[in-house]
Amino acid sequence: MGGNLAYEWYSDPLLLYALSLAALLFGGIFILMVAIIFKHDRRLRSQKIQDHFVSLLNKANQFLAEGKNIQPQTTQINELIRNHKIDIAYGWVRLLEKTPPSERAQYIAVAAKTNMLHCVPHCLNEGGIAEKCVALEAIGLSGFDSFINDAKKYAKQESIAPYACIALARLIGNDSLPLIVESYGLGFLSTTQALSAIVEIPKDEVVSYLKNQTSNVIPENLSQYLVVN
Amino acid sequence: MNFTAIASQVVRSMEYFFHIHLLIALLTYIIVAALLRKHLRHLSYRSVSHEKVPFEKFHAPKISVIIPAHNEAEGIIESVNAALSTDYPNYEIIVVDDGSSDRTLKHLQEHFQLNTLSFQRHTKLSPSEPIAHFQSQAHPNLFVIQKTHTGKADSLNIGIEHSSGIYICCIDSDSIITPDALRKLVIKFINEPTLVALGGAIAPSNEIIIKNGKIERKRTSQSIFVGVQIIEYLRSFTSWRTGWSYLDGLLIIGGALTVFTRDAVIKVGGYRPEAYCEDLEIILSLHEYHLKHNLPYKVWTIPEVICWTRVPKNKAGLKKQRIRWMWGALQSLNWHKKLMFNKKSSLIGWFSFPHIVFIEAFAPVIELIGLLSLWTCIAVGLLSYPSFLIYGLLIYAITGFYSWYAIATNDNYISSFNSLKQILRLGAIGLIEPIGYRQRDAYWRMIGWWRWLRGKSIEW
Repeated sequence: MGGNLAYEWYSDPLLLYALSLAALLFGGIFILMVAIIFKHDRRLRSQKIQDHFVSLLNKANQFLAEGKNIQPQTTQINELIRNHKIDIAYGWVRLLEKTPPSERAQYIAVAAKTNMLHCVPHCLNEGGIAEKCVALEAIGLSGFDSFINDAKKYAKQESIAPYACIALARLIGNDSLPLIVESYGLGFLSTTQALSAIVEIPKDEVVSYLKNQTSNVIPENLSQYLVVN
Repeated sequence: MNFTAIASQVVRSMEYFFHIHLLIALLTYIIVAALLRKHLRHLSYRSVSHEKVPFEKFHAPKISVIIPAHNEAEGIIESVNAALSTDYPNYEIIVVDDGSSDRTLKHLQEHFQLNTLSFQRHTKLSPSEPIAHFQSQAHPNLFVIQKTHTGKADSLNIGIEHSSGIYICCIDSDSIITPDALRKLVIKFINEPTLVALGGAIAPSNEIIIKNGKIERKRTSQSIFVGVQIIEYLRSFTSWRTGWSYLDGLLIIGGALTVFTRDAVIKVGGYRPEAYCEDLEIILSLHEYHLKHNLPYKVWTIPEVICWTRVPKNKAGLKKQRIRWMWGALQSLNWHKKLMFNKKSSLIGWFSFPHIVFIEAFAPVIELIGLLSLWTCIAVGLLSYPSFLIYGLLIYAITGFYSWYAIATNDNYISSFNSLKQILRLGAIGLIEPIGYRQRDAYWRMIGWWRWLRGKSIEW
């Protein structure tokens, strides 16, 4: 007897459909389980690599201040960069973000002795959107001037533009303003993203830029939030 | 046609009805889940700079945090401290003591060194008159209003009346927000000028501890009772509502954390004091008002802000909550029935509102009738055991899949778990939930339905 008395259960199309749907959903649950395990494992591994990288940088930093040899640390950092470029880029950005701007220079000095600069083009050219964004963060925070043109290239690209504009504001200051305003006008930046980029430019530079303009270049939506007095 | 043939036809019709209902629910979920996935993918690379907008460097719009409290001596200090730990530079906190008979006000006075103050109303939403106003000596942007007990909605209105922010953030007195919450919420309002109401994800706080404003999960395994509620919250408050936001069809924001623009909330007259589900009611009012006046507006929920709130720890508390939710939802849906098939918004009128009524509000009725019919058909021999098992298996698989999908996609919340074992345990609880818990929940909601149909009031 099936769902309908006229059918045997195994020949009832409605029941067979329900059974297939249930089987499909159970398959889905299994795939989700595997995905969760994989994602968790990936997150832990990435965190471990980033922590190791930061500890090596800190050690190298300390040795450098004491006038000791940092070759073993730079070798290990290079090894990490070779094998885990994206994780290292994330770790680098997070470290610089947590570090006050006045103390960043010492880390950048250590990074300059490693293959850190190889990490950026890899993420920028071979990575997906997330990697490009992180690379642009790294460029801006580290003051890697050699990538200014790359950053300009991405200043009018959806999703990546906010990172490119912030990086440009950090690298070229005032000169990035027209690009930021243009990108904002084209809708590649939200109001807060544009403001985040503008406030990276020293205030006096923004003020003098505004004074030298004949027309009001910064849209009202942005200028209402800016403290320029 | 004999009785058996007629009965068989009835069963067949019921099967079709079940499949259609299931298919609509499943398709809606797939659409909503796909939109949620899109949003979360977008978030994954958003962890850096522009999410950390340096508001201290520009004119940050003021936000007023309103915390209504009635007999909340136990958790009020923790909640206010969490709000005070915000990294947003321009804010005020207004705690409204709703005639507490316990030590709520005393605790606030002791912890925050309150001084009496004359405090003016900026607008008029409530007929109630406050008894006293206080300002904290230690935190000049913390204010406390003492009033007689008139309920949560009226207390929120009193708080709104005395607030001066252009955004109003209403949080529960047992809820905890993280330091970055206000900043992330204000970002959304600045970027979307038509946004009138915004909510965050809501997560049970029973298994967490707060250290220096940071959330840490206890190492012990969560109880199954709380775990089941975590799963429910993940599925509905986080996944479901974010997806609906993407469709611009969101009809409810969890009352534990809601932010409004001041203008919008005043235009609709604030919260309706007699509403039992004041969170649903005010959002429906906003929809109705903006549709009526042809004004552009948006109502969203975002998963990147988590509000941690206490969930019932025992059966009696949960039962009371579910009955109140159902009763309150029916009350609000009835008040705003004009939204159904509203010509001014095809999405709200022809999709969201009918969905919340026919799929969500009627869900316990359909579930219980379906369950009773299945057992009856089995008992009288109209349905075979294999059919019963297959349908049972299908319902189980759907609920299990929803739960696992919610766990797999809500990285922001799941990252608070210490180990894979805890995450998988939560998933396993999600597979237990359809057996017993769900039916009990449907039964409690049916009680809500029954009381509402009989016009019988309920306990808060």
